[in-house]
Amino acid sequence: MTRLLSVFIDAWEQLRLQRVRVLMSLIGVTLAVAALTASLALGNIMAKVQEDTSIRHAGPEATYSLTASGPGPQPASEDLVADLREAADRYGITYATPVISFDPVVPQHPGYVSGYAVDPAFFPMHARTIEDGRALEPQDAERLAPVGVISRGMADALGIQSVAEHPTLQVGDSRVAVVGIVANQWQDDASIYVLPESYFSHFEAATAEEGEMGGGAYTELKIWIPADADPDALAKRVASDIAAGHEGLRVSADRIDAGAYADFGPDPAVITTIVLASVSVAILALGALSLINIAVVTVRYRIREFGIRRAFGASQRRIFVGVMMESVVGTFIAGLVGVGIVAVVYRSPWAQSMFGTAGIAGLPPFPVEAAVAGVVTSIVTGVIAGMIPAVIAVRSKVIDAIRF
Amino acid sequence: MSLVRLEDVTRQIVLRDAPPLQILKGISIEIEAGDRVSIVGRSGSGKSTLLNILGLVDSPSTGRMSFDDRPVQLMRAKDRDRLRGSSVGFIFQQFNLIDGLTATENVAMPLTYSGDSTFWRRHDLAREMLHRVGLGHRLDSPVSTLSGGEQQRVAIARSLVRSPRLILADEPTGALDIDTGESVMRLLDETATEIGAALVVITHDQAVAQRARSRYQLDAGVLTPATAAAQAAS
Repeated sequence: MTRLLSVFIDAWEQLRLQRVRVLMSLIGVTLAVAALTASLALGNIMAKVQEDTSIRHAGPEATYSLTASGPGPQPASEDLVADLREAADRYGITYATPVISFDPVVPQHPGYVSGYAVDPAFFPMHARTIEDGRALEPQDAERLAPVGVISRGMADALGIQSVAEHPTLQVGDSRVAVVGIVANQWQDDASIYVLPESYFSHFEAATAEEGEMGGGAYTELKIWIPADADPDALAKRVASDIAAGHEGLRVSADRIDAGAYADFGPDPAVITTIVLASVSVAILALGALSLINIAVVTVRYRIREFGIRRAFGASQRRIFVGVMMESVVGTFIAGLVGVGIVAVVYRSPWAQSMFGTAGIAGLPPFPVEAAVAGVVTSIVTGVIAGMIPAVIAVRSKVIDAIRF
Repeated sequence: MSLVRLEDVTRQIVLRDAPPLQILKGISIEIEAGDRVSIVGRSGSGKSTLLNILGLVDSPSTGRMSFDDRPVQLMRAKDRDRLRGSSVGFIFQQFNLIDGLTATENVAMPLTYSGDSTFWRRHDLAREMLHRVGLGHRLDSPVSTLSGGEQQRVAIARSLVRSPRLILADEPTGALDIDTGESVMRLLDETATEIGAALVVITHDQAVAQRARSRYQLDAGVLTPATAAAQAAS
């Protein structure tokens, strides 16, 4: 143990002794590790954001969208919602929701507001986080006045701090009690979510009137197939059951989560990560070359020192490991600094605003995988870059080195 | 029991475009614990090669060598390195201190390779040793700022810090003036006596050589006792 620790301490003392040389030679490695970590982190974040976006808009894995079409008149949304709920009960599907998109009129809000009539299952299916209050509940349908959940962006725009203040909102001709605030899907997201029952009794008529002028509602049915079922077969059975109640109606079931695109070639986020990481590895290789260059020159100047150390008991192996550890400890520190720079930049308000501009609300935590990859790469670089000077150091003859 | 024994040792170097160079011829010498030995010889007579063999830095081409009655030729390189580190202290003519390190760090260096608890106390032991050689006031001075005499004292402290049983000094006063050389030799004698180490000094200086109880002359690779050499010369 003492021997092992003494190697590290020796290497650290050497680095301290030659700090200017070390600093200069490690700048390239630091920047390269920072670039590599940033590219891996970016790829990781892109994949995560893509997944999150997919979940927010489609739902988790094995999510199906059921679309009704046919030559005859379209059935009323209310009937479709009832059919969906009945089918979900029949097949033991816990997560099923209609998503009726409509354009609510909210006089208090200065901009455009999106309205959605959804079942409570919508929130877990789309990984929507309730930041304050609660999500919609089935019992809300029994209340006389409609209740709604609004997005954080809308709450901010209306000056609503917390649902504890029991805020209400004028939507069309009705007063909606706000019971929850949900995280934004994008920056300045202005959305309101109500139960289908509230929509049918309070907002459908106004939307229909508007529809005659080009607006109107759009109804989509979504189901989340349980993991133990055959997703395609079950989704088709649900679609077929809904269609059976309406003459001439066809209901198609399309898988809409990321799994539906699994056969369409590699993920673009993976390609981007590979390209960025390749460029970073090339930079790292150049950094390592300059490190080797400086280390080789320095080692030649230190031949006498190695001879002296050998004379006082250092074995060849100890000299080899010692010289290599100088490189490894140096690049390890450079790696930590590089990863640290990326982590600090990632958490900076500047980066938050950049990602926010790109439509990413709420950055995921800094990817640990990228940080670990950065540090491990720096250590590997240190081992490779330290190998050549270490071999030169060991090959020097003690007798020549300490010739007096 | 002898500390180091050489029997009929030779050392030759194979040259690419010339016949092999015979540096040492049939060297036999026995050094016991606490001995004082001096070896005098001209430049190129093989003094440094002999010192390197005694110090386990180099190996004989033929002959037998033992350290603590253990045959050196049968030892693995790693064991020789360990034995050298724990039992042999070197003092060089040009001091061979490591530039950039302080006096304390230079003296502590051999303890870095001890592999035992002295590693953790290396700086304390180094400071203690520097006090003993009269350099308590230069502990943290970079060695490049010390005078020649002070640097040689640091080198002596470094050679003694692991309490070796054999101290090998190659021209220890060669780079010093007469007075400083005298005080360095006195210090070397005293400290070697304190730790009970054998001291082998290689020198051109007869005055330095005369301090030893056993005196040898090395001439063209052949080692003879100094009295025998004097008789041969007369």
